Order: sequence, then C-alpha cells, then structure tokens
Amino acid sequence: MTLIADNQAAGVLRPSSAEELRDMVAAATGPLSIEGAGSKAAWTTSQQPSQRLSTGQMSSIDFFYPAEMVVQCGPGTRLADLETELAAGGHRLAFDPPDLGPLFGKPEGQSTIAGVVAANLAGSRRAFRGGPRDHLLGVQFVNGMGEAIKSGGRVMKNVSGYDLCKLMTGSWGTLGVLSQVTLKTAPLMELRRSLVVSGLDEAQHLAALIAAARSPFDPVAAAYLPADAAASLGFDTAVSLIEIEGLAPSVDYRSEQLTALLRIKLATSALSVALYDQAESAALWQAIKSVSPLVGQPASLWRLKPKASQAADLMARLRSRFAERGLKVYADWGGNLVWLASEKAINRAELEGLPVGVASQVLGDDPAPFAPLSALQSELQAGIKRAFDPHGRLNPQRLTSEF
Amino acid sequence: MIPMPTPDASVLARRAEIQTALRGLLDNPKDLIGEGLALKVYETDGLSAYRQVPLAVALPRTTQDVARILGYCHDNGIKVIARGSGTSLAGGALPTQDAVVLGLSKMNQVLDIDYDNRCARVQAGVTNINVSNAVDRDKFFYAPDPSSQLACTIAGNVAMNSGGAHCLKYGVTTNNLLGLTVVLMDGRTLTIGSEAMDGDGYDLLGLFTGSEGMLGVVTEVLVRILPKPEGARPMLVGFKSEELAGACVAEIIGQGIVPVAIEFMDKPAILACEAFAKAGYPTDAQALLIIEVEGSLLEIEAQEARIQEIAGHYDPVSIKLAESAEQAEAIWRGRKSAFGAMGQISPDYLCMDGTIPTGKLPEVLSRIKQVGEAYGFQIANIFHAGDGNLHPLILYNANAPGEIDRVEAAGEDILKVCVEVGGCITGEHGVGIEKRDAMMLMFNETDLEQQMRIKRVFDPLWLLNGAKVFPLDINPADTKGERIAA
Repeated sequence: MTLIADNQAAGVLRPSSAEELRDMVAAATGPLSIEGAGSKAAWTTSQQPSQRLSTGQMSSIDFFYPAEMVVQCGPGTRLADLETELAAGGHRLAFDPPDLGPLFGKPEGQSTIAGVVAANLAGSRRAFRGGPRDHLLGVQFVNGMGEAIKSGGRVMKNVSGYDLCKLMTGSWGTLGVLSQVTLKTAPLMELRRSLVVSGLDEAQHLAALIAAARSPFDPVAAAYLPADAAASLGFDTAVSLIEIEGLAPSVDYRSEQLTALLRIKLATSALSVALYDQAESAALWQAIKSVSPLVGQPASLWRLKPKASQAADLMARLRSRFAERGLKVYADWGGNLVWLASEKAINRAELEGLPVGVASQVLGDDPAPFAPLSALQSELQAGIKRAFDPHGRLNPQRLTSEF
Repeated sequence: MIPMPTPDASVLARRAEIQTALRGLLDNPKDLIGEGLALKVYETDGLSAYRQVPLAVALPRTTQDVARILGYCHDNGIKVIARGSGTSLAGGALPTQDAVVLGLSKMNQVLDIDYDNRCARVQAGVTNINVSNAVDRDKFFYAPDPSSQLACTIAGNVAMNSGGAHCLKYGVTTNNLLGLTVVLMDGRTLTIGSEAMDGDGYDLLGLFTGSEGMLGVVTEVLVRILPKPEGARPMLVGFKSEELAGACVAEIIGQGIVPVAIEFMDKPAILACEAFAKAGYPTDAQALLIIEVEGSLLEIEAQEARIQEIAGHYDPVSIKLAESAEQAEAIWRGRKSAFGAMGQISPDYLCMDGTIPTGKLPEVLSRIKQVGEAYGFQIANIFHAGDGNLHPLILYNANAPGEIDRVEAAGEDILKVCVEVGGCITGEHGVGIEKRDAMMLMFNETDLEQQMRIKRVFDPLWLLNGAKVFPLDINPADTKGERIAA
C-alpha cells in the first residue's frame, strides 16, 4: 500500500476521508492504536506496540439543522469547535460532554467528538438528560476487517436493525474506527439557573440532591462539593448545586418551589440558597463536569458510580478507609457519580466491600482501569469483539487485558 | 404476501414428545398449551394477515422456568419465539410451525420500586401501563407510552425499542432503561446494567434493546421512573396547509421550546378521528397539530402563550386550548383512537412507520399522496411531528383479491420515499417480517453481515426468532431456500 507522505507524518497514519481510513485499516497487517487527538491516551492505552492511526484530520461539520435538532460531523471534529457551531445556531449537546484533556496534562480544546463517543463521556447532566449513548443517532465506522459499516441514521427515532450506535459508544475504538457521527442536539434555553445550597451537613447535602431528583421541578444537573472541593470554585463552605433551565417564568417558579421543598425536607434553619444565573451558572458546571476541583497531580483518580442513595455512605466510608491517603472527593450526577482523588495511590482491590457500583480508574497505576465483568459477560464481550475485529487489530488490550 | 422458511419436518414429527418434555419442565402442567383454540390464539400478532400455528406455547412464571425451557430447546435444536402480548404491527411475534412460543404474560409482577434512585424492577411480562400505574400514587411514571400501552408488555417494548407520543421530551425505551435480566438461547442467565449508569465494557443494554427478541429472552427489566410533572395540557392548532403546520413545528423547536409532544394529522386523519371520538378537531383544517406542554399551571400558560404567538405566524384556522381535564382527555382520545377510527371507515388498514427529517414533511406527504393515487388507495397520515416518525395508514380491503399484495407494494414505495429523503424504514414498530426485505433499502450486505455476526455470538444455532429482521435471501433461518406463504 502506498500512502502520501503527509499521512505518515511522525509515524502516525492520518486519513483525511472515510475511504482513506477504510483502505488504511484494510491494509494493516498488525495492531492499530486508534486516537482522535490523543487527549485521553493517559487514561488507557494500547498495551501492544501498535501503528498509531489518528482520525484527527477528519474534521468537518457536514450539516447542522437546528429545527430538526441534528448535527452530522467527521470524527476528528474538535468538541470545542462543534459546541461553538451549535451555540451559533442556538443549540448545544444535551449531554454536555466534558473536555478531560487538562486532567491528563493536555491543553484544553483538543478533545474530538469521536473521542467523546468512544469513551462515552457525559457531563453533569447524565442522570437527567442522558449521555452520548442516548444522543448518538447514527454512525459510520470501519471494522477491524477494513469494511465500512453504517448503523442508525439522522432521524430521532430509528429501530431499523440492531443498534450498533450503542456498541460503538464506550467501546474505546476496539470494535471500529468511527468515520462519521450524527448526534441529536438540544435548543439552548432562555434561562439557566443554579441553586447553590449551603448550611447542611454531608448527608443532608446528598439528601438534597435526591429530593430535587424526586421532585417535579426537572433539574438538569445536581452535584455536591465538600468544603475542600468547593473552595476551588470560590465557595468558603461545602455546597450542593442544582441546575434548572427553561423559560424565565418557569425557572423563577421552580427555583422558589425547590427552595421551599428543601426547607421542608431537610428541616433546618441553617439552610441557605444562593442563585447563579446564565454565565455564572454555566461556569460552575463547566468546572464540575471537567473535574477541575480535583485537577492537580493525584496519584489516583477514580470514577465511582454508586446508587444515588448510597453516595453519602460511600463518601463517609472512603474517608475513613483512606484517611491517610490525602483524599479529595465530590459527587455529581445527582449522587450517581463520585470522583475520588488521592495523593497516595489507591488500587482496585482496596475498594473491595464499598458500595462503589462501577469503579473506573482514570489516573493511577492499577493495570486494569475498567471494572471487571462477570465470566459470562466477558465471554460475550470477547465474542462481540471477534464479530467486529476477528484479527484483534483495533486498540488491543485498551479496554481489557483479554483482547 | 411475505414468505416464511419451510418448517423443519423432523421437529414437526416430534411434536408430542417435545410437548411432553416441556410440560415436565414447568411447575404447573397447565402452563403448556399444546392444542386447540388456546394454541390458535398464538398463531398471529398485530400483523394479523399472517398466521402460523406454533408447535406449543409455554407460559413460564420465573427466570428459572425460562432458562429450563430455553436450555431444553437449545439442546434439541428447537426454535423459540418469545412473545409479550403479541401487539407487534411488524410480525415480530409471528411464530413458525416448528417453533415453541415462550409467552411472558404470567411474568407480570412489579418486583421493587425505589424512588430515591428513580427506578423500578419489573418482570418482563408487565404491561407498559401497569408500570406507570404501580408508581402513580407516588406521582411517578414510566415515560415511553406506545399507543398499545394498555396491552403491550415491557418485554416487547425492550425487544422493539418502542416509542410513543411523548418521546420528543423523554426519549424512547432505550433511554429509559437501567438494566435487564436476560436468558440466552443456551439457557444461561445474563445480568446487564444496574442503578449505576454506564457500566464499563460494551453497552449490552443498548444492544439488546431493539434486537427484536433475537439475542435472548428478557425476563426482568430495571426501568427508569420519573416524577410526574405537576400538570400537562394539550392544545389544538388547525392550519390551511400541511406546509404551514410543518413550518410551525420547525419554528417552535427553533425557538428553543421542546413541548412534551407534537402530533400532526392530515385532513383524512382529522375527519376519521373526529367522526369517531368527537374530540372537537377542526374539520375545516387541512392539517392539525396537537401540542402538549407540561409543568405547573403558570408554566403551562407561559409556554402556551409562546406557542400561540408562534402559531400566529402561520395563519392558523383555529387555536383551541384544553379548558378542562375532560377536553384534554378528549383531545388525546381522538389521537390514540386513530387506528380504531380507521377501522370505522375501511375494512382494513396497513400502518406504516417510517421516520423522515421533519423538514421534508410537505414533500413526503405529497409523494405519499401520489403513491396512494397510483395504487388506488386512500391514505391518512399521523405523524409524531417533533421527532419525524410518520404513520401513513393505507386503507384497503383484505378480502378483495390481490389487494394485500398491492397494499404491501404501496407500503414499500412509501418506505422508499422515507429512505430517499434521509429517513428510515421503521421508527418504533420494528422490522419483524414486515420490513425484512426493506432492510436492503437502508443497508448493504456488508452492514447486515456485521449485524448477523452479532446474532451468532448470542445464538450461534440461530434458533431464537430467526426468520425476522434479515432478508431471507441472506438469513441463515432459510438455509434450504424453501419457503411457504405465512
């Protein structure tokens, strides 16, 4: 196979079209390490010597129709560029994906849309507005045999055949190399507002998140930051944050109702609520979804997904079990996500017995970053891998040591 | 007519032996139906032009029952078709004569409700409406609401990734699930997902949802339940043309207002539904939108005011707000009884289910009209306008010679139009047998081979609902290429 010199710069294959991508994968004779901008390479990386292949040059917004709530783009499209384009049309991605590059010491704004999809990275709205899996309408990709495959489409509802969009989401490039993604977009609302709640103890803060989620007042995000994490956002005490959005009269009504509800549910006169509107609200969530309160040089960073009702218990037990490790924690996704950073490393075995739900290591030296699966699940996942990539070309051992 | 593979004569010959064995695997022998009218009930589903009496029907009560039955069938090379309530409009639950039907209707218990974590664990045979009913007293609900929700089961909803009128805001089944318990064809039980969202590894929950009962039999489902809004209210807006109604929908969404539902009806649908339900629909309009908003009264009024202002840009014939709970109920009764209403004006109808980019609505409606004229059928159109899911109802008479073939040809022409404008062949009903061949309008053989390799991971012997989704020309269910009329 002959390749133009530009495509091989620095030993990285850089296709500029879906056809070139297909030909490159088809011509491969050994393992390929698939990347967008490589912003999350430090999270998990191919364990075998591999030929790097980047879709970072396949950057294009093919169409964006706000009235149909849909955008189609090339895999290498920078998340930042996509968000700028959507905002110009009065839209956004409802799942509000984070750019985790800075967490891994990379510059901001490098993260690509294919990277967000391949890692299934949702922002703070996950528990209320879904994640990439819920908003990916269509994909085109090249499987490990160099075949171009499509699934889904550009319309909101589509049950034509098996939903391969779900398999591509979160598969870390091990099943196929994305050549095009089509996503559902959401209109920007007239007003977004965060209620910042203080004056509560930790259990009360987490109960506040649950009370909001159980209410009819439609929060889009809810998080709890203990005092040390809250300090990085400029708060001098622990806070919980609940975001709502919509037409202005509706937001006014719901923020009053939510405040009244929390006063009744938590029955404490110490409770105080401050309101942050529009850009002020957006800035808070930008920091929370990007894990800014924990950015630094932690030896370990874990992403734990407990039941919301167990988050308070989990955080208390983490503190007591790892009191000597320099711990910092906070909860997002209404309590369904707990970020755990430590100055001294924590490995997976040490989390044993805690109600962590699904535990994924984002930074650290545990050799298995992702949560282990049951024997039957492992068998089926290996079978799916073979169905897409029988020769094991794509991102070997990036998702699991088994393939 | 749509063909099916020729039944396996060696399995048919073992009918008595297989029934005896299955009876022995169930706690109550009456849970095995082997003959007579009781068996004939299972010969068809919502696509009632097609009928095949199965070998037997087993009605398990537990996941363990399902595992025993599947294990036996696997070891003996017997095909299985799982069935919820049999409401599929695509023939998704159509049996074959050499297959055992696994009916989930006795697995109808709500097992656990957890409001703090906004989820409920239910057996797969619970009806869709009974999930919402179980949490209604605590002001929660389960969001996906297919028109058949009184009868259809969660198992069927998972198999077909069912939608409904309110998915513009809340999404479809796949967006409202947290976990599944599934029995594989070889009898092994698989647990997928949990209250923790987004497990590591491949998204099997997403893969199973919409896989049309071909990868495993779902026995338990962990569903997301949501707090009910304080209130909801529909409004009716009539327009002088379909184009104006379509443009109004585009501007509403373009203005950043996403109502919980936007339903569109064309003139034939308006007339039929009004005659049937007396819902107060504007019979002088060429097109009608039902727009529902929700929240507190104050929020509803704020949204309605904005929508009325926008609708005013499109020269509406009428705007009518629901002024009482009765009026609101009547408005939705008209829409939800649309299929029944068609039954009043025509002996039979074929309900199509394409999805189109919403901006293409006027073009597609005009092309559908041409299809109707070319074949000599009247067609009424009902459309989930916010999300582009179009239901043309082709009125015909199944007893007139040759009409089934002509109506199916007309239906395929409509699906071609949907695909040509960038849409798809099915938005929420599924492929089943009905749209098996139409899959080739959207996919090539390489795409479908990729999907079939996934099926083989879960069911290498191709025993589970195998004659569905994939065109028979490439479908391993049809190894001999000998077919019968279903």
